[in-house]
This record gives sequence, structure tokens and C-alpha cells, in this order.
Amino acid sequence: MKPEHPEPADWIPYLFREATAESRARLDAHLRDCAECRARLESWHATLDRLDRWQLPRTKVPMPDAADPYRPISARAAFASPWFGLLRWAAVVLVAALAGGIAGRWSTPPAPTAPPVPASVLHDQSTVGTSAEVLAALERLRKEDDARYLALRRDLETLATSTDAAIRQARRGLLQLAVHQSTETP
Amino acid sequence: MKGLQLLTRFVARPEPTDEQLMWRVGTAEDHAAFAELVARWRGRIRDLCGRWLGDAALGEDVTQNVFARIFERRRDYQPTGRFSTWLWRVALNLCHDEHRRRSARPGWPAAAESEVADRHGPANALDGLPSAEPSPDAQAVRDEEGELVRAALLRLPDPLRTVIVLRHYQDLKLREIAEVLEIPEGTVNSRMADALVRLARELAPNFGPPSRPATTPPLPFSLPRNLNP
Repeated sequence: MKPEHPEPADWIPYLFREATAESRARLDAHLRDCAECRARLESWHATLDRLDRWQLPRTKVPMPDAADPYRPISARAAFASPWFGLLRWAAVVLVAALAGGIAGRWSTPPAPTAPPVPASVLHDQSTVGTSAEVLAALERLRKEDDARYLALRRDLETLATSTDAAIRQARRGLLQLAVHQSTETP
Repeated sequence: MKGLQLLTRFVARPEPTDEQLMWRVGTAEDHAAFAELVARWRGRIRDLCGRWLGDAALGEDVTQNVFARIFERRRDYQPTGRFSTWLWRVALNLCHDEHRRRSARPGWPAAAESEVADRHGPANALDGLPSAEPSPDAQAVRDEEGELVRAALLRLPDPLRTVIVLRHYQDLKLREIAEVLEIPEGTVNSRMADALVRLARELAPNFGPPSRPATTPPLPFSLPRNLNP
């Protein structure tokens, strides 16, 4: 008895390996006994092979650059929600300010040393003591400045560490929100 | 070094989805997001349009129109749907429009002689390099076979050509094709079967024994060796 043939459309998911397990088993069983359907599938498979003989050549037409939408840009800068973008820029500004402050402190020239006391003054005994007092005062000021600078540096480093932790936490929250939103999207 | 690592981790964010990017384009006029979408999809849309229209240069022109249309209608995009579905649909509609417009011209579809010339033209960056390409005679045979395939595809009715291009060249699943075309999956299967029957009838007499490229999966069953289709 001649096997009852599936419709041609029924073979398409099978041909492209998208058939369900049940359908695949049924069609496999039919193919074992039906040379006509085997021939049809072989013909279609050969046809799909032949479609690959047509290679689409590359064209040299560039995408237009005049319109802003076509300007290439790094993927990393492509997306940012307003909140995360603002937070990120705020962090960048803060870090830049801190770095600038620290760099400014480090690059600050040393406290100007007292100009050399002119020899004529040194020889004037009445001014020697005064000059020494001035030098001592200047030295005290320098040491006080150094102490203030070190304290400020410690404070800035603490602030940078705290900011970094806050940014990481905010980023985690945003990622969770993005994941939640994407899973809700059908 | 630790600071650099921290900075790298800070700026490294997961890639946004197409839907997220398009949302940004539609709500915030984010040109950077749109540029990213173009970069991601330009190649595939160009291939679709080139295959569907049978002309690579024309496909490139239509591709530019596709993205211009996407940007023009950015506020029409509904984030509940997949961006790719919408993009494929816009591209196919523009291909249809272009095809109708050119069908009115005499001599359409033209033989793609310029495409063969482009492949061997002086602008080929691989000129002068040792090539793994076949000999000129073999290449001429391939070109001729490619032209036969192109012409056969263009002779298919538009609905049949669409499903073939989407499934075989763009690798969309049958379910995805149904979604893009807004037709039942059974209709996709019927059109595909019709298309394959017609193509087989046209191409079989002109081709030698088929060779199986690596991209084509083997048949899901074994044929007896003495069977000839």
C-alpha cells in the first residue's frame, strides 16, 4: 500500500531542522518507506546548496556622513539612562576635581624660601635677630601648610573611595532594573 | 594599575539591547544610539535588500533609505515589539516599493554585469595578494552559476522570494518570518515549498552535482546511494 504523503509544506520545518520531536519522528518513519519523498527532500536540499553559488559582491557606497544618525560611535557611549548618565558625569567631574586638587597640591612649588638676607643686613647686628625670627616663622608656616596638605589629601582619598563604592552600588541597581525591564518586554 | 582596572570596570557596561537603543532614539533623540543600531544592522539589511532586489548597489541605496525611514518613524516604534521584526518589515516594504518603481522601466531586471566587474575590478583590496580563489575559468563558472541563481530568484513571485531570502540568506526561523510578514507559519511553509519546487525546476538542468558547503546542514536522514532525484 502506497504510503500517504505529508503535504509539501509539512516538510519545510523538517528540512530546516525546526520540526518538533514528534513531527520529526513521524516524518523520519515516512521517509524510511517513501522514495518519492526522499527524492523531493534531496532535490530541495540541492536547491538550497545552489542558492549559495550566488555571492553578493561588496559595494563601495559608503553610508552618508552628513546626517548625524550615521556617525559611527563607540558602543560604550551609545546608551545611558538619564540618571546613570548624570551620575556618571557627576562622578567624572568629582574625580577630576579631586585629581586636580591633588595634582595641584603636588605640583605646588615649595613654599618660597626666605630670600637670602643681604650681606649688608647680616652685618647689621640690630637686624640679625629679627631676620632669624622671620625665618623661624616662615619655617613654622611651612610645616603647618604641610600638615594641612596631608590632612586634606587623606580626606580626599577617603571621599574618592566612598564615591567609588556609591557608584558601584548605583550601577548594580541600574543593571538590575535594566534586566528586569528587558525580561518584562515580550 | 588598580586605579586603571577600577576605571575600566567603571566604564565597561553591558551592551544595550536593540530595543533599549531604539527607545533612546525615540524618546531622547539619541543619535549615538541610532548610530549603534545602524552599525549593528547595516550589513544584514544590505544583504537582504541586495538579495531581494537582485542588485547589490541598489540594495545599498535602499539600505540607506531603510535607516532613514527608521529614524523618521522613531516615535512610531513600540518597545513591546522586537526591533528586528520592525526593521525587517520596513526593509521589505522599501524593497517592494523599489521593485515596483523599477518594474515599470524597460529592461528590468537588468543583468548584474556590474556586480561581476566589481568583484574583479581594480578597487579590490586583495589584488596582488596570493589568493585561495579558484582559477579564472572556475571563477567564470561560479559567476555564471551565481547569475543563474540571481535570475531564478528574481523570477519568483515576490512573496515566495521573500521567504527564501529571509530563511536561507538571513537565517531567520520560520516562526520569525511569520512574525515579520504577519502571516501564519503554515503560510510561510507553503510559500517556501512552492519556492523550492520552482527553483529546483529552474536550476537543476543548469547545475552539476551539488556540493555541500559547510554552512548547509546535512540532510536529517541517510539516502540510499543509488537514488537519483
